[in-house]
Amino acid sequence: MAAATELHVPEAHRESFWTRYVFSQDHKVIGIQYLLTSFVMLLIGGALAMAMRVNLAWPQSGILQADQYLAAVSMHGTLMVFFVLTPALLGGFANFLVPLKIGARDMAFPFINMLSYWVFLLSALVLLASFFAPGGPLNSGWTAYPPLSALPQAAPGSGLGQSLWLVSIAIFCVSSLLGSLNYITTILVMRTPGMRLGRLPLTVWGIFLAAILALLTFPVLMAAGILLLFDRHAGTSFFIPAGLVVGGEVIRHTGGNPLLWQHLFWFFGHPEVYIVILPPMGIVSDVIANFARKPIFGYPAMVGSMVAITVLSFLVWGHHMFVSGMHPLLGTGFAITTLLIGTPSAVKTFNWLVTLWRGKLYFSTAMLFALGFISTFVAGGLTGIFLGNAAVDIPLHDTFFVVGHFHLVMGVAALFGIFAGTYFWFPKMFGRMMDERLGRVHFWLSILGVYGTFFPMYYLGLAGMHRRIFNYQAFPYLAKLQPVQVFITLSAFLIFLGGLVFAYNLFTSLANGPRADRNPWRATTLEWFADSPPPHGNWHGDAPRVYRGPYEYSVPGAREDYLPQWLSPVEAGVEAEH
Amino acid sequence: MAVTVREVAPPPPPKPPAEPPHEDRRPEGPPPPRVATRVGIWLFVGAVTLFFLALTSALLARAEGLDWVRIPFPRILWGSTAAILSSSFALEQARRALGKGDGKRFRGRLQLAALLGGGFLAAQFTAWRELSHHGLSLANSPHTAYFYLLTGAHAAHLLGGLAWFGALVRRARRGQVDPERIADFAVYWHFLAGLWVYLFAVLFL
Repeated sequence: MAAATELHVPEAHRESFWTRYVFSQDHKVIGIQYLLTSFVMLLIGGALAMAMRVNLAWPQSGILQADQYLAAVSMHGTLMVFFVLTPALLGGFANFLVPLKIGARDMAFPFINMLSYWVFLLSALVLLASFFAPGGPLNSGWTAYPPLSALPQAAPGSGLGQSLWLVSIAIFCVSSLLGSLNYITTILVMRTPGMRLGRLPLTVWGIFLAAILALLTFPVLMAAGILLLFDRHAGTSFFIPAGLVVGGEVIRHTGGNPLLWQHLFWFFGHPEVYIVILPPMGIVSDVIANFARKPIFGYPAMVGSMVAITVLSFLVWGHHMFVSGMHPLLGTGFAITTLLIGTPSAVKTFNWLVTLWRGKLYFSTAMLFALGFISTFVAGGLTGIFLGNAAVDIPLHDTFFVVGHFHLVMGVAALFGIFAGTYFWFPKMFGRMMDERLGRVHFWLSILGVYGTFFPMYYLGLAGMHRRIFNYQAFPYLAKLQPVQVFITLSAFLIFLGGLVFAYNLFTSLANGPRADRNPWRATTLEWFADSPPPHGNWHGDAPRVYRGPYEYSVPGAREDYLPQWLSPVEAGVEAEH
Repeated sequence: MAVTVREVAPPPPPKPPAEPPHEDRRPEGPPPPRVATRVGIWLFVGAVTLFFLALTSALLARAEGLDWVRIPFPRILWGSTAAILSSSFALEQARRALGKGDGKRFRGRLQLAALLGGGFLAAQFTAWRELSHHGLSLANSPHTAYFYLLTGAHAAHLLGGLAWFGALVRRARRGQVDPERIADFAVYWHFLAGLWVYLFAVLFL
């Protein structure tokens, strides 16, 4: 068998190390480059979180100065949203999985695809360079609200650090455009015969919709960033209002509107949370169907709810601005659209639960993380219903309640989706299995740590603990809450420890993991028809054809408990699906 | 054709055809369908549209402010509008000529369209010169800020389009013409013309 496949490899395949692993146009290599870069950034973003947690639990430790604390908050958010979740999903998994899952040899535009990774890496390096800027990185939070972000003299990090942040984000927008353009085109025109839209695995649907969101919203962030750069360096007043006094000096800018930035930023910012949650929703569906050995319950409803989430996500950005003094009627409108998103989210959750119901569950690490996704998505999502109501949001705004909410629903859930995907597709990526025992340790440390960290934050928020506060000890009613902060910090250490276990597992499995065969999970979608790892061009000989939907597990009358998409009805010994 | 070959030595034996570079990138597979480029361009146009919608919605919000002072209208902008619209028109004429197989007229109209595109940029540049001559800089008033920003961003997109156009003209001169490539380009070029009309209206109406 091995000798036979060797023969199919043409001469032209033998590429140099550089074109093969570094400047590669192979979607799989680019995907792995994205994924590994994201993991490095995850480590940096996680380390910053640990420093913040030490400071909050033991303020007297003096591990961070006030401006360093604000810089850590800002960089943690930026790194996690832009440089971990987004590129791992709409870069790593999108690249690796889309062509394999739809039966294509590569992306529609392989060169642009390669370019998107290198542009992304450039933006990451520009951002990391801001650690070494005088005054340090930005202080204005990952949302970079003006005027703090618009006036170089406003805070220590408002100088070069803030400018580098803006440049980095602008470059990132370009990279995102190159990537999402590729994913959408590839999914639209490169599907193998038989791969109708109604047979796409839900991971591909999630990536497709997330790419549409990215394509349409990152340009808006880019526009906002350019306006802010002009305010900072060209003397314009797009966002800087009149009459500001900073450091005893009257600012010469007049007439700008800081709320304009918030509108533009959140027009991007809210779809962004769906950019990072739609692909994990797909990944989790794939993993759950496989390890429950059941078809996903209500495939059309799953797709329909994802489409509904995509459309609604353009209409909810105002719920980040309930305290900005918007017209109450407008606020009510945003509250209604926000609460409406709960409906498709609930449809998805119930469909996952029904898929699990009476399934033959196998608790692999990937499955554990997929279940963890559902759990944290619910635990975080339900508090979104509180925050979506303008009247409830106003007292809770900018408190730890919000921090707990979005960390569980989009931070941890998306990260769990990434971990589930990594454990699930690692054999396909590298041809080796990951260590399941270490994987379980990683999972249990993570899930305990996550709930220990973010659940008490709801309580802290209700008690009035402000987010982004350096020394809450200055307020007696908050100082009393220090024991809760200590508990949270200890829990957060568990998450970080789990992350280290994961990193160890990743590298040792890369080197010494047991060899994986073509389809170790007995899964149904096309990537499992390719070798592990798949060669350049994905399949020897012809690309597979598709004969059925993506989740044909435990089909009555079939020989095995799964019917792969590539198996013709004759080979499968069942009636063809019409 | 009776062409005398003045070679003493016999011609070297034909080399085996070299693999085109894209072949080793896509082993054993067909190239992506032709429609992929068109889809990609439309998606790019969609993204650029959102970019300009964001900038112009910022303008419309700001134009309600008390400090909004209108700038004098640079007359040359009529010229640039005429240039970009006739460039689009000439490109369509070139495509029609190509459809009829009239290569000479095709090349003529294509070059005319490219020249008019360059003329548009020159006119925009003149408008910037005129305004700065009046002492109106970027930081002067919100209207100048938006004027420079929007026209500048549009010009940057047009400059990219001109580079693409230049490549097409060069290929056409060498006789390499692919109507599909021209049609791909036309999507972007007409989009830029329409975008200019929109920006013109938002800035001055």
